[in-house]
Amino acid sequence: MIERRSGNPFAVGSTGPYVSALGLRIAVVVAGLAGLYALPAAGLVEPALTTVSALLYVAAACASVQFASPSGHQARKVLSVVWLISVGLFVGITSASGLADTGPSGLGSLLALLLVGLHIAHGLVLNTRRDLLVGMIVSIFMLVLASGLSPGPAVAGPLIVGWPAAVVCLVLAHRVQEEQRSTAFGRIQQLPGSTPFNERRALVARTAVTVSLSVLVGLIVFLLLPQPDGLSARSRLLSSQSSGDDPGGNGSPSRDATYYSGGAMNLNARGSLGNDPVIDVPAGSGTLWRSAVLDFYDGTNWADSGNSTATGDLVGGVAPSDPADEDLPRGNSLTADVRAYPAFQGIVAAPGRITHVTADAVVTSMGGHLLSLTQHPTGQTAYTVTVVPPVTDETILGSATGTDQADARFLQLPGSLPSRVRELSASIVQGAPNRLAAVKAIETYLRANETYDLASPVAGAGVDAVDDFLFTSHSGFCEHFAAAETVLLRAAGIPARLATGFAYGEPQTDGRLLMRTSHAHAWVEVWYPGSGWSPSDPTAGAALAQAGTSLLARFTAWLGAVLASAGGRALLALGLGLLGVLAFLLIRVLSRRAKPVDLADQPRTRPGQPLFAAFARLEAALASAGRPRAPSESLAELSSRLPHPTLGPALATLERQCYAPVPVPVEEAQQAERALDDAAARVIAGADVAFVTRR
Amino acid sequence: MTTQPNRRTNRKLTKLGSMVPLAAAVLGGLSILTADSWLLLLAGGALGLLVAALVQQPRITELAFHAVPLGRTTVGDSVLWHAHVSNPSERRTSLARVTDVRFGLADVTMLIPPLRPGQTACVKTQREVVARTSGCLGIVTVASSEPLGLIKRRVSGPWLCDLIAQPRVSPVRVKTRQAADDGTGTAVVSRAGLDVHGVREWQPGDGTGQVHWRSTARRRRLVVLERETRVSVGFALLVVGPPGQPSWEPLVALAASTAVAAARAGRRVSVLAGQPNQPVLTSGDRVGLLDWFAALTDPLLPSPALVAQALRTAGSGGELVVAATWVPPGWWATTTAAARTAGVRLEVLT
Repeated sequence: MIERRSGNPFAVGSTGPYVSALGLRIAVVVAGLAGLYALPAAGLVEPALTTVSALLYVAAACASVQFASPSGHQARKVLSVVWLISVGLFVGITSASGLADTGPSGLGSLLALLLVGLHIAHGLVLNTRRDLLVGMIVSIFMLVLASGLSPGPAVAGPLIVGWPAAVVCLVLAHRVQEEQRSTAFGRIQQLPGSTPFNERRALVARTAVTVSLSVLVGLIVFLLLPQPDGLSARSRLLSSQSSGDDPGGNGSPSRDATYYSGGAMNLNARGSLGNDPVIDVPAGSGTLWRSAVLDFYDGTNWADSGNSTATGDLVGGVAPSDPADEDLPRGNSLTADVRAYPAFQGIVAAPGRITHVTADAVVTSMGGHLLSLTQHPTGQTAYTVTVVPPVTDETILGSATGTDQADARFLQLPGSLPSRVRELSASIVQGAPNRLAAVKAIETYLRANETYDLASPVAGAGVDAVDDFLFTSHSGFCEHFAAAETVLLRAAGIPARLATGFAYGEPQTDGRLLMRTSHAHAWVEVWYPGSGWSPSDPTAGAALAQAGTSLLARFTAWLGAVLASAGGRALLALGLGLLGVLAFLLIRVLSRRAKPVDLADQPRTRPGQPLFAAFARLEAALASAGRPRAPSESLAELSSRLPHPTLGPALATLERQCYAPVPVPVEEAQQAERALDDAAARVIAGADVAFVTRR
Repeated sequence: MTTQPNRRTNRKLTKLGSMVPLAAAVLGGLSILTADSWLLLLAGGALGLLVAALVQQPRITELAFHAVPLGRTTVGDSVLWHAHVSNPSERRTSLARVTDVRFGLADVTMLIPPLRPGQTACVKTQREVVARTSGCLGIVTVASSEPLGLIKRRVSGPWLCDLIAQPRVSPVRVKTRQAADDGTGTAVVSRAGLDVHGVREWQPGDGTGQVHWRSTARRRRLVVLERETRVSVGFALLVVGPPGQPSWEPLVALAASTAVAAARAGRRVSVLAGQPNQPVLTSGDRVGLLDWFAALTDPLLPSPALVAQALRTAGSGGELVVAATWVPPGWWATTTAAARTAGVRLEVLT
């Protein structure tokens, strides 16, 4: 039964009566809180401000419920207007004075601030259905703003909470609207012996079905529609599912495969690399294909200090000069032909020190460490590279003697590096008989004490990323492992540098290795006197962050694999669709089981079913009027008890419908049905209603 | 509803429903611009709302509507409206709004909760009688936009339910005139004649020739002499109209009051109107007279034949009361002349 809710005479402002539906209010407040918390998750406002705003919003929303008096309402209204004007002025003045410097992200923050102010002000006047819907729309705006301006994975939580809350708002607001439009309310007439109808439960069930359907269809559409930027965006979502902290939530830059092609590297960057093919190389030509080396570390970023000037365009063959390698003996060279794919960034990757590159393209040497290959107009997408492979023989490296690397760049450390890092380095390499042993000791330490996690937490502002990795988070990926080893080696006085490129690859049937963007990697190159730069990869062998045991991590990995291919996505969408259909069928079956057994439940094939239903209604009417039909009361007795001119023939028709071998004609059955309904209505209405024969 | 023929069904997107694809398109466009999967997911979620609304389309066509016949009532009163909506189908129906639009009664919109198979929802409410009517046709509309208000479904059809809303009667004084028992349909009244009927106090309108000076001197008040005559007890009430004027309904109420008062005063009341489906009624029954007025909708200007019939019905010495909001020029003079010729006293209600 639906009760008419009394209107609030003090409700002014928006049109419509005061809505006291608690469920709707709660849903609006939950959606509002989700919207508020999406903003700091996207780095648009400070978390502390959000907490204060959330408290104010909840208090304002509660005030709408608690103080429904003329003075209270007027006070709330004035307060909300004053608040709104204050926030508007603040935002306006701030934007007018400093918008030029803040740029688009600053504009996003100002907009977020304005929305927060509007939200709190609006919380004070949540009276009518329209007010509540506007509150919900403002919440959605905040969610969209957070998702659009800073699409980090931290927005996932507010979205997961906010979207269902918004759908619940819609369902309940629709319900309230229907009640407001009605002037009378139907009361369900309970059939004797049937299960009482729980309308609240039915509403909850229907709301749950609607929310589930919305989310399910949203996911299916999301999986089937082409993604805006290929796999990376979808993978960004995936990384949100696997992260428990706030990676990327503090406005951290996103990471992609170009990070590994030289230039610079930000240890606070997060994001998936995608899975597009970049190059394929001959198998056996080496596993670590270096694109660039980075030697300068500032506490967060790595950069190539020698990457400032180009030495000139060199067409055809070129032997780039690396000052650090000048005095090294030339060993056996290796030549490999490389095929490039569209994702190839133009930075030449090679499995060692490059001595010669052949390509039908413009080859630019940048600082001796980086070779850029500008694609030729003819569309050349391959190059041949000749390299001197690095020395990896531990016997040679262990007995390395000769001139040490004199370049101070490879021992550089930031002045802000905490002393505990140096102390850790000294404790690890203490007792190492030679450089190789020191390198191995650091590798072993890192593999034993740190875990591999692509969604590792981001170091806070002003915190050294390596220090955070070694002492706080203890989790990171190849960049952090390599950076940490480089820093520890340098702290121990061993020249080292960070190398980036592609590693390991994917064996192909034609005997080549395919390097995808997901194979982008960072490792360390350590200087061995007499042998030159030799690679050291501390990431290989590191323990994964609960990857082997966590069900969530396994699921994430599986989901990532599925999302990586269009077929997998289609299959997943199909599976979700089937799941939805199965759930729907299950609900149908269960609801059929729970259906009350009454006369109206006769099989549809049985003729005269509406007549039985009409008789059931008459019985229900008698029961509700306090004059139920006794179990032993025959139809004839009932007819004599209810002196109604048309009831007798109708009951006779019903009797014939039950027992006569020939079914009653349809017209007669319909006439009897109407007579039974008339009688039922008369019973409920009472005897004071005059009878008028229907024309 | 299920038993009524000619019902119409339609289904359309609501305003809110048409905004959802728009929002999905905007979010999708933004997701392309910003290369952001969250927005694409939100766009999918918005489309999901529409799909959820499509999958859970309102089920209302199965609902059967039934209402208790209302019988007679009076304009300005409230009647107890009792209806029940049942679900004779095998599937659960949706939350529905049932609107009953019936001339004469204020519209009523009933919210019917979802009904399981075999269930019935009863609605009992007071409806104000806002206009005269005598009919049975009402339009019942069942509408639902469950669960989100995005897609609206409407079923409407006629529902026959007798209702007579009579005009409200107010006290009116009509001269009592009891017919004699001689079966002539006449009564002895104090009018001009040879035999003296009696004396009475002077009333405005009495001529000086009627003053009985001797009685006046004796009583020191003006006393007039009444002579008796036999006149018809007929009382014809001719409703001219035309309707549509602001004073039309009060005029009908006054005419009905006059007719009822005349019947109560012992007159043989006839009511006439130039309405094709409204036959001349001669009755002393209050209910019959008020029913006649309840059915009065749009009378035309009475034809000369109808006026003549009214004069005949009134009879010599009887009264013809014309209820009119407006008459064309010349009509009144013609009718007055005819009444004078027939010896019928002509009065006008306006």
